[in-house]
Amino acid sequence: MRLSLITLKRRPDSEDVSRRETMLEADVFRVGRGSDMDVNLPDVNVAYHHATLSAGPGGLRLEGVGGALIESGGKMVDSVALRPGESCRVGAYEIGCEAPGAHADAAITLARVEAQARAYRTPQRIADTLPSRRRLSWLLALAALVLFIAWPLSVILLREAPSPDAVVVNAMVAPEKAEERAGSVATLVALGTSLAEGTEPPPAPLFTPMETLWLSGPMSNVHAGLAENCSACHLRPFEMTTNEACLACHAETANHFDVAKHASAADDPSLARCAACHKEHVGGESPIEEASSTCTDCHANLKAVASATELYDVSDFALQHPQFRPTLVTGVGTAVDGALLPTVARAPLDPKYPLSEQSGLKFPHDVHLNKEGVRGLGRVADKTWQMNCESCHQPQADGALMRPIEMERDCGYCHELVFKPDNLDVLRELPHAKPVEVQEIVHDYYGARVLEGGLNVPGAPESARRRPGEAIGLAGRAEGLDWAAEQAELELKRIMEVSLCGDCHVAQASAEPDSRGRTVWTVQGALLQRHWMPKSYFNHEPHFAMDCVSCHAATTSKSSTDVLMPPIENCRDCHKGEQAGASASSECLACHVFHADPYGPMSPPHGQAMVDRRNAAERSTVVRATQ
Amino acid sequence: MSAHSSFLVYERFRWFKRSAWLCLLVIVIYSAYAPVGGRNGGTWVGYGLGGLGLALILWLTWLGVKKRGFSTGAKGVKGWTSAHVYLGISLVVIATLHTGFEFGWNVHTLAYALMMLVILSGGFGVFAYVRYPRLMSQNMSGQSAEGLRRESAEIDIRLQRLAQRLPDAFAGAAREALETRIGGGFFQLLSGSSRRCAAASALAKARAEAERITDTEQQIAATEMIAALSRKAEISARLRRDLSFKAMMDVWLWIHVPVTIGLIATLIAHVLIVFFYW
Repeated sequence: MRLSLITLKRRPDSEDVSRRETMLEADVFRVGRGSDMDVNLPDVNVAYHHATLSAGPGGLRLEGVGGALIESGGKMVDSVALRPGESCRVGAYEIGCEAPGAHADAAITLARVEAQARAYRTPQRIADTLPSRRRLSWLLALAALVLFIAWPLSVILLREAPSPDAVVVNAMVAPEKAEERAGSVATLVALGTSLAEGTEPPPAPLFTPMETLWLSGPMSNVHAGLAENCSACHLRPFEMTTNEACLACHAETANHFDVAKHASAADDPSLARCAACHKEHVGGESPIEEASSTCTDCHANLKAVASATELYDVSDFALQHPQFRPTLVTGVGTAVDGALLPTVARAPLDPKYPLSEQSGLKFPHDVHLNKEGVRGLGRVADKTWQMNCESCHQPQADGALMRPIEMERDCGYCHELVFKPDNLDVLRELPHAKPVEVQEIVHDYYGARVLEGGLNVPGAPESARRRPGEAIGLAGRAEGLDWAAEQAELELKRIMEVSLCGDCHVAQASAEPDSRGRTVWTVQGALLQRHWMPKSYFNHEPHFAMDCVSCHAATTSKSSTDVLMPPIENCRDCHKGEQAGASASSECLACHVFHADPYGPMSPPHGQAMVDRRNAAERSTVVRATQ
Repeated sequence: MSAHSSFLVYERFRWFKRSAWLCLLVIVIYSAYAPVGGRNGGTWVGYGLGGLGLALILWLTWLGVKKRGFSTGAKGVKGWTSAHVYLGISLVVIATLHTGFEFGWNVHTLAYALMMLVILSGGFGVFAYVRYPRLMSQNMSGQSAEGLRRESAEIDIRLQRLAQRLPDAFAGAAREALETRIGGGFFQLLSGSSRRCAAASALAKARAEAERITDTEQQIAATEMIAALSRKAEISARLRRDLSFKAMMDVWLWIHVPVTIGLIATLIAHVLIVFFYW
């Protein structure tokens, strides 16, 4: 068989196809990749000897060798019959059958079908494998704006901000329960519905959870309840928190100074704002600033902001703080109704110039703290006690200050107020601090004994010595009672000036006897100072480990006029100032408060106007902060 | 230092020095100012540092855009890149002091975290630009990727020609080698691994098959094919490493750029929120 093998080749960049004819002659033609094949198909997908080509019915027959397959009409087959006009594929080659020319018995065409460019190209750069940076950027930016701005704002802007003139009172409302809170979607739906139906819009929730992400820091513990009620303090957008919002709850807080009287301070808005000192969103127990600079900013040179001030400058407890100036009783007057009117004055505790106080009490500390012990009085006169500070001075319940001295409780055990006249067996208890009653009791006592009779006292008149039960004549009665009054006067003088009252107090006899002919005694009550330094709040409790006498020199004090308060130098031994590294707390607030109300220079509550307005408002319309 | 990293030493560390001075100044101001309530972003120094940080972020972003399209010559690009890198690093100090070391689960700390992410990814970018160009030229040993690809294509033709003189097993190996893929998915590109290289696998097969050949002529062809496959495997590995280096020099941009834009949006929220609830 003569086979015309026509190789078709497409020229590059052109539609022209060149035909190159080769004549082969054999019975059977070997077709394959091998270079020694009759029909050479140089393609690695073709087997070395892929198929045999021979004459077939009506044309040619291509038969696979050793299981090699031929592609015909989209199917893989063992063999295929090729008639003119038909074709099949082996590897990259298209084998077609043509009507042979006169010089050949059969003709086939061979055309290399270039592998179609892959539908996808293997990515060569990561840009081909990742979403575009531009798209990612848009996505992130949009997510941030929607999540952090649009979502929370959609609810926040529905809330009504109180107008600047409204009285905002009591903004602290119980936080809404999370499960009862309308979500932002529900809020928007409700708003849309109300707009569509023309009804009243629903109240906006006090809080949306997305606002949590707005918090710049944790709330202090005392304001934790406001963490879910931003608009309680942030009344209006883009406005610094106002004092008005603070005073809605803290109206009664005392002013430290009257802003109106301190023009320079009033001009400085940073001083007038609560938030100048009280910083929220920094956690902690409360937004109280402890650093002394809060105070010393002004107090280091107070004249600069309050020219009329009489206060001394303070910059640091250890370096510049005036000597303690206890408030002392310097004298006593008496009011028309007999009440005592103490005169008080402040004086510095200079160790070189000891202060003295006129408390009206006679009390030598050294005698009571005698190491040998103290002998009792009255019925316990035969006993001796070792006394110490706690025997009389006990701290009050909170441990800060000593409880006030009460005579009956703190002195009475030894200082029994009983009188036992000479040669009389019967004791009489006398009341404390009631000199009139004491005088009546003593007079009554002697009068009664004379009228009773049987008195066996030297110098007593006969009528008083008569046997009990015997009648006393008019003359005897007058004589006896004269003697009784005389004895009572004598006894009272002793009681008042020496033995009982006079032990501790100063008693004064009236110049003229009264209408009953009796001397009238007045006893000056003790004016014991309870708080010598009322502008600070000293607390004994943290100082429990110290001896009392390390601050209060009681063991050597011979007189109650001694002022046993320690000077500032004592405190500075431990409180070494804010700049000292190892020191007991020395900041201003360790001893002083800023919003101190009961003391002179401090002015009335900050929010006096607010209190008034609130009182008025409670009677009429109350505008709440967020409702 | 190579030409690729010389932006770090540009003009004798001019921008390094400027950034260092800026950081020092900021640290001194921060330390000197002790406001009521402690140091944080809500104090005047805090606002100042925040403003400075924001301005720097916007300017650096603009620089980042600008130096991509620069046409003012290599020196200009180098200078701006130097400024971008050193000022970017100084933001770590400025923004951290702006926070006053107060962090929480909120949008403000998120902005800080995003900024740190941008700076860290940028740091990786600097590392990549210092390290990989040298490795790339070592890897290519003076040849170009295009040249290697051409050579690989020539080897393909040779393989097909050689297959005509060799048994089917070799044709199979050649077929496999022709399918050798350079590149691929994200992780393939990044790793540049040649562990599953088709050419290498074909080489192993051809070597094993060559043992069985007895015919001298075929032996010669087989040896030739093994040499060709070996060269192709080597070229492929180099090309993959080359792509991997390029990928490493690119990949950080997918964090650096989108996160920068996300950061700017978050900063808009941050500033708005701070002054909305002042």
